[in-house]
Amino acid sequence: MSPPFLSRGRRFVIPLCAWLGLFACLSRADEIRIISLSPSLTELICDMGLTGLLAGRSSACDYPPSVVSVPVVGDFGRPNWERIIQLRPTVVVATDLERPAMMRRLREEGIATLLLPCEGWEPLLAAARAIAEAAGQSQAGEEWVSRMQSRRESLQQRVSSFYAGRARPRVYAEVWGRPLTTPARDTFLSDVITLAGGDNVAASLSGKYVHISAEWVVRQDPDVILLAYMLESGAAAANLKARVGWASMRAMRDGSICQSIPPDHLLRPGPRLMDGAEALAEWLMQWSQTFDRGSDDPRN
Amino acid sequence: MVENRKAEAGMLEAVQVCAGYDARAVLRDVSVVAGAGEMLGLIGPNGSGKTTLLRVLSGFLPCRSGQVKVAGRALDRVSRRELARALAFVPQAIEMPVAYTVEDVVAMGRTPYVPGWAPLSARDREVVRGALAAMDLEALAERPMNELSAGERQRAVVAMALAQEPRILLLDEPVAHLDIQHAWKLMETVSRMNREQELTVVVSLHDLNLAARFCPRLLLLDGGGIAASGTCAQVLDEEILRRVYRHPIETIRREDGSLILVPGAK
Amino acid sequence: MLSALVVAASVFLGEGWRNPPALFAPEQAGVLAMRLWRVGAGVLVGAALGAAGVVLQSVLRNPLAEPYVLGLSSGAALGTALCIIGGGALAGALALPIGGFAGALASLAIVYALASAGRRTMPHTLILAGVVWSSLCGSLLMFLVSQSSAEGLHAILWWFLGDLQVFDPRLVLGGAVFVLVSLGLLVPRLRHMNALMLGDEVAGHVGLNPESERRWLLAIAALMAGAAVAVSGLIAFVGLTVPHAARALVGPDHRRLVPAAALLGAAFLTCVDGFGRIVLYPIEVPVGVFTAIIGAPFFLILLRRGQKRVWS
Repeated sequence: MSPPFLSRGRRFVIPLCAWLGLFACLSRADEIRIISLSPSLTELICDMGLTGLLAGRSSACDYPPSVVSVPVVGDFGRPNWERIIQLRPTVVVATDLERPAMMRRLREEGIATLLLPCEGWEPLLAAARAIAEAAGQSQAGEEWVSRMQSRRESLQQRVSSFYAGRARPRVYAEVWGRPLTTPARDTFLSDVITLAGGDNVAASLSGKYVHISAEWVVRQDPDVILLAYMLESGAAAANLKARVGWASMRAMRDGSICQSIPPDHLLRPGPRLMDGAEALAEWLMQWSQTFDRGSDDPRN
Repeated sequence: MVENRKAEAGMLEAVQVCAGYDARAVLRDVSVVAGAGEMLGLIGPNGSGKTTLLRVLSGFLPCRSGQVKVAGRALDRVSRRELARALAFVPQAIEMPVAYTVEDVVAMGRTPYVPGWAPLSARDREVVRGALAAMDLEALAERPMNELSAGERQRAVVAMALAQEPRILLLDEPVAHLDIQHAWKLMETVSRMNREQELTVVVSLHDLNLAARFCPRLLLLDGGGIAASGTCAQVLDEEILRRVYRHPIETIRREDGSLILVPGAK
Repeated sequence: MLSALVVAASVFLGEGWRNPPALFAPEQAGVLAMRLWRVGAGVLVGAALGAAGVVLQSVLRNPLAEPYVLGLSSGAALGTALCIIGGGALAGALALPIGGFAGALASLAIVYALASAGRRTMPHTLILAGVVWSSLCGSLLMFLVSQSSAEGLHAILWWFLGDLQVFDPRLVLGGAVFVLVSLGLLVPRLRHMNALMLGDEVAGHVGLNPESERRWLLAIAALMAGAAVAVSGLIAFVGLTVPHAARALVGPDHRRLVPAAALLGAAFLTCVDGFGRIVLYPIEVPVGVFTAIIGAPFFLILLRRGQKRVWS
């Protein structure tokens, strides 16, 4: 059980160390003001108990509720750098989706920046450590990391003991309906499905979120359909039953559609992913007990 | 009585017509009658209103005041379809953006007779063949229009007008682009149909000799009004022509009574 | 004519069934249904675009005209974008197509009103008004896109490239009704289109009212293009080139040309879509991407062969 991203971890660690060094020079530890440009990192900061250090956030950062009072510095992916500078932050954290040019600009202004990769378990832990260190609270980071790791390990144990001698449910996850978009191998969601004991049918495809042919989905005939729409309103409109040809799928016949898990718990690469993984694991185990097919399913 | 009605059907009449384009008035108070079976020639300098008069007579251009009557009925009371069966028009030039064959174009003359979806009936095809034959186009029937010479093309357009089986045929400078042989041939054909089929013909011409040769009656336009009207002898008067064309024109009467007009030096 | 029929028929067999007859097995019934609906949508959209392309090229007397020329596409795009941003997703799967359809028809009405202000509408004033309207819609669309969320943006982008996957059969059935009604209205006007090609004057002299003919034909074309847009989004290339190819095959007589273009459009689009299904399977590629890639060389050959019979 060695997720593919572990091997890539080293690639992230080295530049991170460089940034941390830079940061250590700049910071006088007088006052630490963090601006987070990504919802997942905002959640991470708050989950580590560092909400008080947040000086700014993106408009998409809406969790936990306590961040609402933090000033907004622009939209996710489109921050307003003048506003950022006005807020006099000591450090700006963003995911690696952010434009590098903007980050360079901020560094020229003497503001430390942390550009943190966002897809994968190991990068998430690394991000937590980096932010905590930048905030001068390494201890909080370590605690958070070990908390997450123990949650993850216990979930892994539960899942593997549950599925011993049992077929894992094959899951098709849909994050958007028109076009059909599903998480392929290199996505956090795919990892979450695996962690939760599911078998992502799109894991055989390389890439991140891919546009998939509806025919292919029907041919895969998954056991479970997981709806995790970026907008919650979208899932209501997906209206799977009305789709041509879908009624013949096993999951549709059995009504095995999981849409009870809040999409933010599955799509935001932040601390709540564990909540999502646990909820999904729970759902899938319940499903497996209801539709027990044993381990001799010819497809496995 | 029967004779009378037939005569009516080919009659075209303009009563005190004023017409023009946008702000520009071209025709002022023009009245003209082309009796059934008559061949009337329109002559006059450029911009005198020949084309505009033909357009008004054909119903293409509405008059500002006055009235046009076909077979005694006011034009605005006649449906376009009905009018197209009674009257055909040969414009100076037609647009030909795609390569229709000669036969395609001539068959378009049957439009007022056939519903839009139906194929041509046997009789329609008969008429189309007749029109092609009249214009000596049988050999060219399958050729695309854009491969033809100007003269052949003009004949095809006349054939299309003939396929409408009109009582009245209006032609706007039909020989403008034709050489002498083709010009004469076209005029002879039209003239023959005028005589043999009692087709009413109104034709505008620049060539005064052709007008003198083929049109028993002429209408001379000048500046949107009628400068002279009547027989060739009456209209083609040296004095009147000099005034209208602002250029001396000598008329020579030959022994057979026909007129030859020669522009003189100023 | 006959050949076009044969092409269309062969497409039904040729394209989808590359994976042997196993497709007819009962457990593949779902896939089969999807295929059939998708081919149906392709036939519908291809035929509508082909026929609408012929109509617009004739009415505007312009070989570069196509179904989207009069601001139809940008109007439809704007309508769709408004629906996406206005929360159309909530109203159900049919909201976006209806928004696109309404946008297309409204565009045509506006362009026509702009062009005919005061006087008779000449083809070139129509085209100009269409261009002006398109750029206006384009700017508004860009504004909306810049203000919308990333998810909405994605939906618009995909929609711009065209997609024949059928999720909701009602949409195809609704589109079919519009296209059939339009074709029904078009049939009695096929001969008139021939005369209209020779200019308003000639058309008028053979007993037509060019102005009202033009209005009808534009409305019919808009209806077809709007229905196509609603079913599949914007599929480029078909409406522009299929009419030329059809003209090269059967000549300029609209009584043969319109049916030929409709059949050819249907055959071409289903063919290309079938190809698109295979290339990157199971990754889905918008069909609009392939129409040009596959179509361009094919039509170049056709145009070369039939050179003499197309636009002069």
